[in-house]
Amino acid sequence: METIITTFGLTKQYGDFYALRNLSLEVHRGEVFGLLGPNGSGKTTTIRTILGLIKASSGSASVAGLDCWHDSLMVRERVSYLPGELRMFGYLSGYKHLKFLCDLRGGLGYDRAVHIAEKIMELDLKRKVRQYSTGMKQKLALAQAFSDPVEILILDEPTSALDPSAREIVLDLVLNAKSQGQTVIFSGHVLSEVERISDRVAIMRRGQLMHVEDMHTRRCARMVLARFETDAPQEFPDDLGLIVRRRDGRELLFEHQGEIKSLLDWFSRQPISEIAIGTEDLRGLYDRFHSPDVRDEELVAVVDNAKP
Amino acid sequence: MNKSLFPLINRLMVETRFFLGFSLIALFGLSWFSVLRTSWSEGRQETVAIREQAQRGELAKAAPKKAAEKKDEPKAEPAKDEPKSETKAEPAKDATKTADATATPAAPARPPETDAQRNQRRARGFYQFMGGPDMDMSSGAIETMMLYFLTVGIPIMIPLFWGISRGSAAVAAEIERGTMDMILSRPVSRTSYLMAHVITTVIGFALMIVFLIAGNKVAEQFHSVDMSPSIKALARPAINVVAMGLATFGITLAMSAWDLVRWRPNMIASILTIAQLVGYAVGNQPGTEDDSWYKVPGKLSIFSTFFPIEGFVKGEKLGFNVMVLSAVFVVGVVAAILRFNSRDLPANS
Repeated sequence: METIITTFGLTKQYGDFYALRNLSLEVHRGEVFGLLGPNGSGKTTTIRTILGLIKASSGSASVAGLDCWHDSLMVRERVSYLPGELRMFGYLSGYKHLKFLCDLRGGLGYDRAVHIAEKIMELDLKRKVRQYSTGMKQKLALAQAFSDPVEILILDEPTSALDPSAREIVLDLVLNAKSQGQTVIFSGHVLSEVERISDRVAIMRRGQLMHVEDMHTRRCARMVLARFETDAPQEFPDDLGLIVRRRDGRELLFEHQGEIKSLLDWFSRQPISEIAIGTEDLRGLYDRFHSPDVRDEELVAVVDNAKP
Repeated sequence: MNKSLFPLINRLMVETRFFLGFSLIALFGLSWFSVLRTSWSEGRQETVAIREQAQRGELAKAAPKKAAEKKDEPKAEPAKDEPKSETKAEPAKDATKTADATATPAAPARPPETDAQRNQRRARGFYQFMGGPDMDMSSGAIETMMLYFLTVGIPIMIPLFWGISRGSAAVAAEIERGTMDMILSRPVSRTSYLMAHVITTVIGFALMIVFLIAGNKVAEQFHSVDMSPSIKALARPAINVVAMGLATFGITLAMSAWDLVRWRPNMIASILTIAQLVGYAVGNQPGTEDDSWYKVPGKLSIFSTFFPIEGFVKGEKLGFNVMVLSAVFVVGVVAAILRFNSRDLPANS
């Protein structure tokens, strides 16, 4: 697939503190790329670096081959951004707010923005923005972002202030954008939403990229919990493609991808007392890197094990 | 630059409409007031003369003659334009005292009302309108306060406030309130963004010059004065006043381009301005030796380029003064552009 956003060794340092550390990732054209991580993990810094709002201490970031710092203006012509912390011009009406932001792109997308805001988000655009609730402001900003005629949408926590109905609308708009060929970077904390719409997901921790998961592959994977009558075996046939996630005496949790028949054949020859087969949601993957008992020094091993 | 510049300027004009609007109205009103006050002052002097003539029993012949002569004799001293009121205020104050001192002569026969008397009557009506029917019109203190404070202080302060306010608003305030992201995530170059602020501020200053002149010229239609200055003569001190504001804007803008919060460039620029004013006052104490260190802060102060009276009367120093102030402005803007283009823009702090 064609890569549209690339970062290589991207590092942002404030004194001794690393907001980003050696971040290398690729986002493919036309995909929905989920960005996960707790507060302070570097998601927003990554986005702001891509937009050219922050200059990297070292490394590089590019959009469609354009350097994100030196060619920032051309990058921003291709990108629409929804900030995580929305601040708007309260003295403008909804109409004028949309008009102003569209005018900064030469007036492009205004009609579509008004359509999304009025018909889909059900906003009263005659009111001053200062009279809007937080959720209404978010809807207005989303209407703006989805109406921009750009290649890339970067949405930083786009559903954080929205009611459940509006969240559904946003997810539909993201999928619609994808169907029209736009690339979407979706940063968020609601794992179920990211899981539902993303093609790939990156998990960050303390400024580092921990893992990139292909969600299509993940949806085909299964988690198997087996309890053995004796101690669980230490080794498995390589051709089974098993990845051990947890070992607890006679109990073994592992991830499996591929033919189920060969796995069942192997099980039939083992002293197994109980077995449960299901899927792992994104929460399980996320917790591998962010559960409270995971320490930084353990993460290297965890990351290595997580690689398929 | 071009496609984003107009919407940015448009937004800034909307955003600053109240501040700029009130500033312009204030300058217009103060300029008007300076004419009114001049007219009143000239009228009061005429009244004193008439009363003295009346006491000598010469009124019937002298008053109409003097009024007729007065129209043919231009005064040597400039009559209007508020920034040079320090020299003009004194006669007005003296006139008030004289008028008060001669307030109880034997009542003469009522003379026909001259133009000057009519102006004085109008002026009293205006003062009573401003202060209410119970206003003590005999108070020299009130008049002195109004003349000095309203006509000397505010016309300088308004451009300075405008310059400091717009300078700190350009970068630091937008970062602080978080609206910078909304704009600079669009295809807007940082230089365009700053230039929109600069152009908006300069438009504001240009309007201030226009309103200062317009207030004077419009007021002349309602209050007659002995000498009507030309628009050019009025423009010169107005440009000097506004150039002060422009220089202050440049300095504040440069500080704002470095900062994350608005209060800091606001405070530093305000302190710097006040310090320069104090330095100028210290450096220009009467009787100070030329080689005294007292002179140094006066020479370094941007107020040393502020000669509105000279600008009004001759204008010989105006070009140099405005050039110095404009240079400060340009240096500030260039420094701001260089810094703003190289700095990080963090999320709102």
